[in-house]
Amino acid sequence: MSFLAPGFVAFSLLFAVPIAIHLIGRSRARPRKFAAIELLMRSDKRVARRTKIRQWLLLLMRALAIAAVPLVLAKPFIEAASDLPVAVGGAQSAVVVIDDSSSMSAERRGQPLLEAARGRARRIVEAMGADTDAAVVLASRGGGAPVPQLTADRARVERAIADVRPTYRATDITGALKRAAQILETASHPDRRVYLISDLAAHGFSGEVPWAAGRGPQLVAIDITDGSAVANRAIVDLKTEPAAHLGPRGVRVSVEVGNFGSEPLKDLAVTLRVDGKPVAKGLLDVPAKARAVKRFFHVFEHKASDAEIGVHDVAAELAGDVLPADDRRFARVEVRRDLRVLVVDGDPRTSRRDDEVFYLETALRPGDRDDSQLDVTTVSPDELSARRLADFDVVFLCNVKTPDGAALRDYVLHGGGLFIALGDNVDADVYDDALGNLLPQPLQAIRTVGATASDRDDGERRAAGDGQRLGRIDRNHPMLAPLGDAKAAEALEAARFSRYALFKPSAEAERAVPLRFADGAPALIESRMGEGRVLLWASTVDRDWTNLPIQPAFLPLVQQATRYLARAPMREPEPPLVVAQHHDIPLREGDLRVEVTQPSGRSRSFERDKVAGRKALGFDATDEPGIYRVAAAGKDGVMRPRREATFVVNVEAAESDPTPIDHETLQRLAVGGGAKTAAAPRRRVELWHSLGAILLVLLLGEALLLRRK
Amino acid sequence: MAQLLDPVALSRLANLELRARSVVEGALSGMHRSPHHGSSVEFAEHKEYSAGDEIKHIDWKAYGKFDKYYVKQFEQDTEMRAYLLLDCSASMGYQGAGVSKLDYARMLAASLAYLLLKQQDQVGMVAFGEKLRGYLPPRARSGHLNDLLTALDGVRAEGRTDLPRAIAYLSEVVQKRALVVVFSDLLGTQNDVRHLLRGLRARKHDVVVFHLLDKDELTLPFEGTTIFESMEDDQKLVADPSDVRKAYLAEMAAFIDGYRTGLSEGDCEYHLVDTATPPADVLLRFLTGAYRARNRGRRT
Repeated sequence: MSFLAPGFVAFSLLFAVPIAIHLIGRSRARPRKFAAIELLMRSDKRVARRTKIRQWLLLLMRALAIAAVPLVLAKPFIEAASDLPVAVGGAQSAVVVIDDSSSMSAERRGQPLLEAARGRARRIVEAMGADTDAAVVLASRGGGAPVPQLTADRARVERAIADVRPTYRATDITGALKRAAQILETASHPDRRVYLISDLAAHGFSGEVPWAAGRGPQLVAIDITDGSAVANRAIVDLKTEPAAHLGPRGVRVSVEVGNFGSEPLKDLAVTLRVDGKPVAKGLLDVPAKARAVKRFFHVFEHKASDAEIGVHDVAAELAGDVLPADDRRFARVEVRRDLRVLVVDGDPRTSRRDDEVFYLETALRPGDRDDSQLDVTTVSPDELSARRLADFDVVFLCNVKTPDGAALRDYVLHGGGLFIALGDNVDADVYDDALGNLLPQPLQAIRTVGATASDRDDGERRAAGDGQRLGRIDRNHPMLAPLGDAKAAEALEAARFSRYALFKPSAEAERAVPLRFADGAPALIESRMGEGRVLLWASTVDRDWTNLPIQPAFLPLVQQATRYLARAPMREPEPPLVVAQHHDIPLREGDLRVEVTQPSGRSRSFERDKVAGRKALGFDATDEPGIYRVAAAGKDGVMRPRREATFVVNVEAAESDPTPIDHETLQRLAVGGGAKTAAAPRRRVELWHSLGAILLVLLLGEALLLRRK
Repeated sequence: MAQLLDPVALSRLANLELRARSVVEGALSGMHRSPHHGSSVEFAEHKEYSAGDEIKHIDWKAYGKFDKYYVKQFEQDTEMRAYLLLDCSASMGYQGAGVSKLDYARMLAASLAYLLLKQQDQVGMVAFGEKLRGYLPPRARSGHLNDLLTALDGVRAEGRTDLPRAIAYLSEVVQKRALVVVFSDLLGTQNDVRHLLRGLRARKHDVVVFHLLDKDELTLPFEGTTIFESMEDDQKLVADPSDVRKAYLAEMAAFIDGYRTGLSEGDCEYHLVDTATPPADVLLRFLTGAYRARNRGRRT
């Protein structure tokens, strides 16, 4: 213990005064003759013990009270391991960086870390010297800066600190330090400091040095956990994959649980919820500092309301622990109705390999698997009239001599998808007449640049060589986006075309050419009519005009074209988002108002220029984990749920790992910037307030004892 | 007059007889009777005249009304013996702010003797401490008051108390019915005193106890650590009165209550006397008290 005014300490010896007075008073007691001494003695006997205790207490209180007065004046203090840095006083320019990330919601000693961090930040600001300006920055990803510029307005800074709320965001300490350094560039004081108040978990540091060497501020890192990492357990991953053996509606759900504590977890209960209802529960053993996976299998029921796709919420959860935010994880599963495809075979053969649609059917049902999700029906042109086209999502018209233009136009106008493949049976004029504007571009002629199948059969060879190849591939087209990588493009370019159709010029606006031949002629043309789409393939779907059907690219191209025409998603569902991640919600034509309901039930509405005429709505309010539901309204103003647009947000899995950054790394990060950390901070604990309080209590106690006589 | 009735003021009067007379006059004036105009006989009732009755007692006014001779009947005179027992132990010498308990007892005893002798009653006196200090047999002659006052003047407060011995002595010497008046602080006495006094009462004696206590003894008003020394032996006690006051007052109340209850139950008359109280008030209280009521047929 030390004293600010040690001179007063000597006066504490005055505590002996009441003792001396007591002793002297006793020796100077006046003798008095008294007749009723017998009664007096009996009374004294009754109260002697109590009186003695009270007298000793009184003596002690008086001695302590007298000793306390000079001690209070001496202003004693001790230095203790501090939660405040020693150098917090004095004039300075400071940025208080508060970690408000998800991991700061963990409870320690019954109190969330963030609450302790707020308290610590407030005390730091209170302890700062009078001529100090300060700013406040949050260390969660995208958390911003409540006080973005240095200010001498202490009340504003304290208000901002008090208003910091826990978030589900990931930690970005490096980003926050960079921002702090930027703010301090305008500092008026030579003494520039950054007070980082965080759990200092390693996941918050990117490894990047936050400021240039030798020019950074002093970093004062304050570990709010006091070095004791939180024993957390969490669901760190939730995967859903098709389970083929359970049929098209079967899924395998893999729940990965991380144990970040030092004790192994035994029989940890993991619950699987589908659409909010618990459907399975499993027990899992997770060794200390390790991870384990629990797998569940589930078959979704087909509901009448699942018009096209069934969107289901899947959640896995653990019993709550110190950090409840990561004890649940969400996923979104789309269960599709099988797409119904009608293939019109314009050149059926008895030999299956020679059949016009052999390769097409094979591509539509690869390996004839159950999980292909395509229901393929093949008919001849004569049988087509007996079929109701509306029962199919996509119609492949393959080398059909005289197509029924009226039926097909009606089908496309009402949302059908039509794929037209050519062949030797196709006459350009007949097609132009029969299909008219259903064709994305009128046919002009057939161009032969190599040996066709019949030529090869005859053994003839044409001087033109192996034929034309594909040239330009529009990778921005949604149908071809999954084929956009170099390997897929190479596979497409390996195909050779000996014969293909040439088209008349067209001024049709609703037309796109995703694929072209090397000479620039269109290979695949897309157009839209009414609600439907049409794809016109300038060659055959068998090997008559091209070897594409035996190239690896044929299968994905056919699958993508089918899905595109059926308006099915072109690629696998996006992985779940993490909190604070931007998300583009796809919009449909005619959408005028969109409403997004967050997991907490709060809704956000978007309309006018944010929605109308756009293909996607940018959504940034992904600030809580869970299922986000989307509804949209068109001209009629009726809000309809858009199930396929439902998306899922999870907390960053890394936030669950409380492993603190090691001191060396922290030192390197800070020293790398030419700064230093305030190691092992100590604080001065002034005791005179407490002594003053004790003095008051002593005086009150003395008065009470005297009063009770 | 009122000032003269104050015990301190009375004590300044050198002559005990004068003090006694002041007290008695004060007491009787409180009863609205004057000793100078009163009569030693009191009218009781009328009775038809018969031979042998005193002619001077014939009520002529009644004769005028009823044409018959009626004789006034008066309360019967009785010769009464009174014994004054005066405690002269050292504790009676305690003197607080006013007079000592012994002085007060002397004054009260002298007053009573004066009053009784004035009524032609016989008054005797026993002064006692641990031993018998003095005895005056009861007499009613005119010079006896001087003897009593001289004896009262002569006693000193010293030694221990032995009231039972005094009572035992009295029991031996008193043969006829008598009034026994005790002046004592009763400190240092045992519980059997109550039995002995009740025994006297049982033998048809009238027993009156004046329990004399000083204000200091009743309130323990002292402050500061004090060495209390016994007045009758070597006992000492160092105590802060403020520490023991509450318990002492409880003890004192129980002590007084013990005597008050014990004596009342034995049909003895008990008077707690604070020596700060004017003696005339105490005498008046006695004269209007139980003894008086019990002896309504007598002249006192």
